[in-house]
Amino acid sequence: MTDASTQGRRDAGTWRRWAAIFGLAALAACTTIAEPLRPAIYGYSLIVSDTVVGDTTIGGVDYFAGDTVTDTVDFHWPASALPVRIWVQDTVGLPGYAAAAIAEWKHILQYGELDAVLVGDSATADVIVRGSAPAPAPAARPAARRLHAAPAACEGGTDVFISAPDHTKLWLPVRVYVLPKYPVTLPETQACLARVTMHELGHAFGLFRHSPDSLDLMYGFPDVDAPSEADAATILILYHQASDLTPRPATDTLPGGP
Amino acid sequence: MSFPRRQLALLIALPLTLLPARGAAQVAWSGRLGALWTSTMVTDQIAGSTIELRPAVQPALVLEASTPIPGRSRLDASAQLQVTTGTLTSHEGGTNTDVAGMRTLAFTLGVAGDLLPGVRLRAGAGVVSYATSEDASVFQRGAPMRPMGAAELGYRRHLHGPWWLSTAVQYDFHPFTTEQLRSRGYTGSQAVHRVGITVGVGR
Repeated sequence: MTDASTQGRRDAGTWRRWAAIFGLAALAACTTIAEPLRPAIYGYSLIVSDTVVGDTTIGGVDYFAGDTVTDTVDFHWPASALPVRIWVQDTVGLPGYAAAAIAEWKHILQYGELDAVLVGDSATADVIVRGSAPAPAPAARPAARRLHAAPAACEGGTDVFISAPDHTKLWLPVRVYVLPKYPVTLPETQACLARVTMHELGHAFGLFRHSPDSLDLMYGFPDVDAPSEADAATILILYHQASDLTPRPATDTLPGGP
Repeated sequence: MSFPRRQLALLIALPLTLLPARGAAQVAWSGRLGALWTSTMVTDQIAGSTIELRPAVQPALVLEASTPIPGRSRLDASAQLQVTTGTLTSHEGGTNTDVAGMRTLAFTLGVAGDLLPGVRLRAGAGVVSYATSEDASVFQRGAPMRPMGAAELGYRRHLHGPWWLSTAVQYDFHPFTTEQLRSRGYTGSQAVHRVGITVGVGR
């Protein structure tokens, strides 16, 4: 009887010790992760304006020939279009710069908002990155925009084509150009190519405007090597807002095609 | 993928090396299969919408070895290994996005004893280690190993010879964060709670 009682007390003591450990651990673990304080964002929307050729109805509004349709459009790649297929010309080290750029943007978008892969066939690519001279500027074409970056040692551009005059579709592929101005053996040229590739892919991923702050990667003359906190906050907001454009292959025979 | 296998293997191997000294007859083994639910691992607010990251209900495998504590105690010392595999999913406004394959490996040491005939309570403490199919999402800069506490209420019923049927409801918790989250400016840890139910056999 005494043995049983001693044993019972000992076991009760063991349970109490474990209950105390468990309780303390539970208290220590009862926390919530706190998201970072994100800085102010900059504008990422593209303002597009086109003239209606013939009488038409867009979004329930009647337009007549000669009317101007102006929209502010946002775009991010929808989950159904992921991963974004990117073809990169194998020149001046562009594939490596593009892979690093994809990793940087994905590092920010950690909830599966964006995925992108390099592909070997440009015919099936959503984004084409070239290291050669761009096609003639598309300014004369309806709803086409060239976003241009020009730091000292290299330059880049991204052409986006939007269906006109409805401004509801982004015609694929998005075309990116990255060009060295000086020999690619120079470290400053290589750094510039890496920076501008990341900047132009920022455009291709939906940041359709430049930041006014020179400390941001999306500044028109990028001088930093990675997205800043403002770049991160801006693309995060963009990917958690509704998108106005649906990506469609340019081979679609839809009205307003390129 | 980052998986601190070496440290975890050492942690598991050390107590198990002590078991043979207790005599094979005194060591009870059990293996169970079941399902595990996990609470939200990360919550974020972006542009007025709430994003939650958590795995779907995952299959779980539990292996346990226990041996009576020396002396006149009626309690057992217990070592338990739990393995789960599943998919980490992002939830936002009714839209779910799979972001990575995810496995966890949890190892706990603890005590277990009968509350009533056949009804067993176990309490333990140990570590849980995460691994992902790729360096993705919040695991882009490596998968963590975190301390954990665990409790379990089980039921045993004799089947045949030395074999018994074993079923248990398990609960465990751990503070969760990753290097990726810290590098993005997230502070603190998220208390992650997991509840599972498993069924198996033991001897």
